Amino acid sequence: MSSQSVSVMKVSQPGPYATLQDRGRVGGEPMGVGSSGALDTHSYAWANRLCSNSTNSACIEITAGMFEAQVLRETVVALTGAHATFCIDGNPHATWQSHRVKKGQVISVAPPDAGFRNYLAISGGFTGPEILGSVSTNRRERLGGHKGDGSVISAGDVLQGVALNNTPKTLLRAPEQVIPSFPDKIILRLVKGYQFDSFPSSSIRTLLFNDYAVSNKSDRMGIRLSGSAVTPPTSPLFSEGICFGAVQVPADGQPIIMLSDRQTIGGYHKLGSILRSDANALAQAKPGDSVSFDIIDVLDAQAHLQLEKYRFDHTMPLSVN
Amino acid sequence: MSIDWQIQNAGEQSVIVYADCSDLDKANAAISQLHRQLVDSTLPITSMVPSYQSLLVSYDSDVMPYLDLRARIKALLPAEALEDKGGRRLTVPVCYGAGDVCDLDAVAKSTGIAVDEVIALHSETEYRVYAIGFAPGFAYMGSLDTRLQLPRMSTPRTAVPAGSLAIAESQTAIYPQASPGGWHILGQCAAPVFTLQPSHQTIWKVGDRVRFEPVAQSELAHVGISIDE
Repeated sequence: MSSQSVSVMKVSQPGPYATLQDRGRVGGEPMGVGSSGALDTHSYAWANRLCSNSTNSACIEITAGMFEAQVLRETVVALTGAHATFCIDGNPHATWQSHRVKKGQVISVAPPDAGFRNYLAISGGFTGPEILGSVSTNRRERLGGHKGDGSVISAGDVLQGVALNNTPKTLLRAPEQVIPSFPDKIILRLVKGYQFDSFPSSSIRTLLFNDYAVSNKSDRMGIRLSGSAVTPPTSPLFSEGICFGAVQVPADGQPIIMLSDRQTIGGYHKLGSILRSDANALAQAKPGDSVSFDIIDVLDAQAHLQLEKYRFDHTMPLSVN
Repeated sequence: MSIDWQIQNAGEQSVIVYADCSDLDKANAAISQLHRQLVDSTLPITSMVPSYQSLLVSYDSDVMPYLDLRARIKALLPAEALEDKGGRRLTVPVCYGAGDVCDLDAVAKSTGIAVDEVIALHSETEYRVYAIGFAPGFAYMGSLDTRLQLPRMSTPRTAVPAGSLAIAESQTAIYPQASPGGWHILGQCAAPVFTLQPSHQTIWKVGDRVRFEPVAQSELAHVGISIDE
């Protein structure tokens, strides 16, 4: 984005892991640069929509709440994602809704009651040095983010945003049916792929008939699961491209669902990949939450995706005032 | 030598194409060729990852669903291995033995080969870039002379300096940025192999052929990487 940037927010408390994210970078994979980008794309897209932003505007992805920042110029903000108490100057305000904030006001996000990640959008979007068309932060690759070097947001950081002459006049809220319910138990629909057919049939049975717990070692690179071991094939494998949502199984048999900050290539055996919409739910799972797997045909998965896209395109935000 | 092509599903909007061949270089050349063909195609491809003998292709299923995309890719696959004339030739200047972190003497000791001979064996081989990953611009090149092959270090270093030339098992690489790493360091390369600004690019592509040219430390800063298209 070539628009001019101004200081829009000063962060006093970032919480455990807050980063700038957009839809991610494109075209970097052949040189080893991953896509990064928002983990829960549904909540991310709604945060921008409620601020009347373009679909690729950068938001702050807040992990496990405990976020506080001061607004440096009048603007409109919206918080989506996890169910968390969202305050402006200490007064609770609705999430999944846009609010006008004045210079000097303090916004805060408490640890979520349900869900794990929040998306804070600001009118016009946050800005940072663009790399391959994206400001998404990837700490491991040391690129992107508000500083451009993969830094996560720290206390005291002043964030830049697009300079706007006027902010949206209408405040918006999301219709009830698009707000996720954040169940403690998630079903991940798996599209069979990669080495699925090389896994012993007993491993597939183990995967499909057991529940797995989300491990606290999970991060933006991958959600690690713990449970009954899914024995992978022993045949050697050349490192190969890992797509979003791929379910890789290292020798210990504990599956890892590869997400936005994954490496571009890897040599572990993979069972296929989960649906993007289920990855959104998984990104909202807390350590200890339960997940199970189900198989879905790729054609059904693509029909489902088309339906989701249709729903998103045809569900309009509602006016608040 | 024929190539046995396979198109596997990988995910909701991704397929992976495998080129099975007893000769890995042939398979890798075929993958690079297919990658170039798909870059030039009008298929609704959103990203691709070439690596060793596979190409991951992600696509927009809204524009072209799985069965159609699979058929279109299948129609592009050559029945026979193409002549391996693709790819560029790069000459990368390195100073063997240079740098604060260096295992050249230790490698000579573990392999039982004199230091000069280690340098000769490493710099006389032409390597192929099989894959790029692990970190931006980190190219996995092979194959190393069998006499130089060593397992990865049992305890990886927490910090390997940028530009370190390294070997592990049958492969060699240059660390584009400082990072943790378990490979044995043979020397230093002064030229940047991955740059973020302004062009966001890495000097190598999968399928390129690379040679390392020994230079003295005093020359290192003055000799650039030469690329023969």
